[in-house]
Order: sequence, then C-alpha cells, then structure tokens
Amino acid sequence: MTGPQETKSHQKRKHAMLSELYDSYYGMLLYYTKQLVRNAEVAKDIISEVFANMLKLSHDFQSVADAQAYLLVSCRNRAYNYLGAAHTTRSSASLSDISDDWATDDTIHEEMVRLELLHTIYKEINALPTYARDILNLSFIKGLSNQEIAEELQKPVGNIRALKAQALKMLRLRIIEKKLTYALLLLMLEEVV
Amino acid sequence: MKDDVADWHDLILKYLKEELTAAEQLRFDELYRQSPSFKKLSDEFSDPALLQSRLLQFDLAMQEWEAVRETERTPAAPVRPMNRRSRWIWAAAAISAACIVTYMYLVSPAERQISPPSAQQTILPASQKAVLILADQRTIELDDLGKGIVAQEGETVIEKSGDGALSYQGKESTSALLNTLRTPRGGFYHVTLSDGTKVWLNAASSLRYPVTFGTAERRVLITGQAYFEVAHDAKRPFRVVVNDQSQVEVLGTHFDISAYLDDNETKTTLLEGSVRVSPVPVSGVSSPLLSPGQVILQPGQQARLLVGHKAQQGIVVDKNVDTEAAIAWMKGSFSYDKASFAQVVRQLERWYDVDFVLPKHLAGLPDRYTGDFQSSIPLSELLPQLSQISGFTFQLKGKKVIVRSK
Repeated sequence: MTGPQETKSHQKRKHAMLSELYDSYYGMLLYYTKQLVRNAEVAKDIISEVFANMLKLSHDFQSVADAQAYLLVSCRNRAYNYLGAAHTTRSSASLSDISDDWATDDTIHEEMVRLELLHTIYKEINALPTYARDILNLSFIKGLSNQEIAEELQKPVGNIRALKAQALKMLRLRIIEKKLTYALLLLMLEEVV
Repeated sequence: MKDDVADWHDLILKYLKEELTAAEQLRFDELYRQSPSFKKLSDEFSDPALLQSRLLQFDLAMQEWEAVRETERTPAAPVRPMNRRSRWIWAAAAISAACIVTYMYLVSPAERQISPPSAQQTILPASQKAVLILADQRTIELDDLGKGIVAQEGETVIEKSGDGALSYQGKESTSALLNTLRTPRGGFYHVTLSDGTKVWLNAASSLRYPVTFGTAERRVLITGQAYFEVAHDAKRPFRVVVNDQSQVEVLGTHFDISAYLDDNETKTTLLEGSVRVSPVPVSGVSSPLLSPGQVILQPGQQARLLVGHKAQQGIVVDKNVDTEAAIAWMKGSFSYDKASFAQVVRQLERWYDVDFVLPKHLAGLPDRYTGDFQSSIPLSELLPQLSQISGFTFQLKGKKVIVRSK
C-alpha cells in the first residue's frame, strides 16, 4: 500500500540521494560525458538535463549504485543522441536500446568501476602532503618530464627521480593503509616507478 | 552469466569503498582470480600512458566541476546563497532561461551583505586580472591566485601559472578556434601563445588569437596596449592587426603597441629586430617590397598612426625614441616624455580604474610632462607627486578624482 504519506517520504529520500549524488558524482559524470561528446558545455547541459529528469521520475532507487548506473546510462544515451547519426555506425553494445535509460548493461558496470578507480587514485594523490602531491600532479597527471618538473618546482633535476619515487611510495602506503590492497593499484604503481 | 558480472562489479565497488562483509570478501577473493573483466581493467590501469591521459582529463573535469560549484555558490545577482538541497535543482533549472527568471523572483531578497564602499577606500594599482573568452564564448575569470589547467581547446591545454600568466601547450596544427584575453581597467596579464610568443597585456586591452597557429601565418588582433616578444619563425610571419585597422608584421622581435582609441593614435615602438607597419591589414605572402604607406622600423624607432584617419594621414616615424619609456608600464612605472596632461590622466584612469573629473579649461592644456612615476603604489601616494609637478590639486571621491587648479 502506498499512501500519500509514503510517497512523500519516498520523494524526500530521493531528493536527498540526488542532492548527495549531485555533489559527489557530478565531477565523474562530467569526465565520463566529456569523453563522449568532447565538449564541456554540452556535457554540462546533458548532466543538468539528466538530473532534472531524474527528479521527475517516480521510481525509487534501491541503492546509490543503482542511481549512479542510471545516471551514467542516461548521460551516455544523451551523448550518443547528441553525436547523432554520424556515430551510429560505431560498434557499441547498447546502440539498440539507445533511448532506454533503464538498460544498464555490463559495460556500464565496468564503467562505474573504472570511474571509481580513477577517482580513488585522484583522491589519494590530492590527499598527499603538498610536495608529494605537486610532484605526482606534474609527473603522473600532466606527464611532464623530469627536466620540466625540475624547472616548475625549481629543484635540481637530479633530485626529481628520488622525489618521485618517494612520493609514489607515500601514495602506495596510503593505499595500503586504507586497505586498498587491490592488486590493480599496486600493479599500476609498479609500472610507473 | 550477466548477473555474475554485475555482481562482480558490485563487489569491486564495495571493496573500494571498504564495505565488503566477510562473506562477500571470500567471494571477492575467488572471483578476483578468474574474472575476465578484472583482467581488462588491470591491463588498462597498468598502462601508464593511458592512465596518465585519463587522470589529466579527470583532473580537468574536476576543475570544471569546481568552477560550476563556484558559480552556483556566488550567483551574479545578489540572491541568497542557496542551501545544499536547492543548489542542484538550481543547476537543473539553469537549462531554461525562463526558469532562471522565475527563480530570481521566487528567491527572497539578498541576505548577503554588500559591503558599503568606505569613504577612505584605498585605490590600489592595477593587478593581475583578466577574462579569458574561449572559442565557445565561455568566459573564465583570471587573477593572480591559483594555478593549473583552466581549459582545453581541441588538443591544446590552457594552463595558468601561480604568478598569473597563461600558456597554451599543444601540438601546432591549424585551428579555427579563437580565444580572447581581455584585461579590465586596473588589470594586466601575461600570456604565452602556442608558438612560444609572449605577450604582456596592459590595462583595458584585449588580445584575440587562434589556439594554435596554422602553417601560413600567425595573426593576432589587439586593442589597447601590449608588449610582444615574438618567437622567431621565418616561415610564418607574425601579424598584429591593431584595432581592426592598421597592421604590424614581424618575424621575431620585441616591440610594444599602444593603440588606445582615446589616445587617438597608434604607437608601435621597436626594441629589437625589425617590423613592418602597414596602415591597413594585409594577408597572404608578404611582398619584399614596401607597399604604399608602409614603413619598416629599426630598433629605437617609433611609428605613429593617427586613429581614424587611416592611410591618407600616413605613418610618422620618430627616430631615437626612449624605448624604455614605451614599456615602462611593464616594469612598474609610468614614464612620460613630453606627454600632455590628458595623456597622463588617461593612463592613470586605466591603471587605477578611476575617472578624473577635470574642468573643461584644463582638458586641452598644451603642457608637456616629462618624468617618471612608480606605478606600483596606491593612487593616494601618487597624486601628491602629480600635484607637485602639475600645479593642480586632486581630491579622491570614491572612484572619482576631482581636479582643481591651485
């Protein structure tokens, strides 16, 4: 039985969840949608539209992960619509159900994990002490050479390699500390040093 | 089968968020050893180049999100700061202009106090302030704070350094994307273009340029005043179109162009190298011969062209000018060599973002001023000095400076 009272509390809960998601997930949605449409403004419009639309839905999402999957699928579908006919030849598992925002599939779940991993690495880098964060930002994110990093940080170029290794070690320690002993992350860190 | 995969991803998510129960942990360990999806993700994340490009994009998106959040926090109209819940509804509504208008009416009037201008406000000299207008007309406010990537145009990354300078980094390819850097009154800025050319933009000026230059020529447009250090490239002439009117063509050199419309003349001062000043914009391959009206400057020379009179007026070349005076603004001073009082006033107005109110009979003074002022001091310290040499008194009222004869 769904009385008006219950509907109202549902609605309230959904508002709270969406509001929370808007704060915590917008950046990731922007990254994801921008990868597809290659235009930040279009991506922002799409995300606004998706949130506005979701508010109107009477559906009650079971979990945050459910809502996240729905957000991603909606953004992807709108992105494909935006890209239009030119891209319909692209091989994608989900083109047949392009208009169906409920058609979550494996690729979306994989995408969620991918985003979550990127976000985790990103967050951990930014939580490091300033000098370690700076050096990882320059090397890891912006891909500068040791020479360029030395110039940017005004440090002797000979020190950069050691500083980089030290910063990566700190990052790895943080990840272990957070019990994120996910082999993936460790694998990745081995590669970079 | 499909459920298995979804289940697996669910487990990984919980794992990352440290939400696994003991039973799930067991399942996780087992699936972990045999999942094809794990293999795929693990391959991706072990590729440093791929990971780096993704992190770069991710960083960019996060900064753009910060910018979105900023604009939501400080709406341009003085509306009450919205609470957490209504903020995102606001953003959703922003897609429709009609909604915005409605919203403005519904939100109760300002609670945010607007600080009343204090009677004795210190008028500070110009600082690093500018607005960057991207090809899609998006605008980004720039100041001397913060650093990092501010935007990306095509393959080019636009980065801001900590000391308030922009730089364009990316492969040089032909691009139709045009950016504009505009300084307000009381602001100046520095930008390094994609070819390595450096431009210092004085107050109340603008520079319009492609994100990347093509192979044929490098063409930019300016208004106001700018100092150029052009990266040498014999194959691609660098052309500066001034106020959509005259043009300066260079190969690699240091020069200053001052073209404020209210100064009524465009001055090109050459410090190093060689430039060709033309009364009208020219495109295509430049002829080695001089066209009518064109002049070639040697270092230490200055070309003057009256605004609005175009070619028939002709370009006047002054030899042995004080080139340091022309670029004094870059080095923290104002330097005048037989300048009129009106000229001095206009420069101070742009630098301090104030307006001088002077009686009509003082405006057309033939007086010639020669001398230097420091431009990094507050206006209140500069005015007494100006008072001494000019014989006028100055009274500061808000953003107005009232001029009287002694």
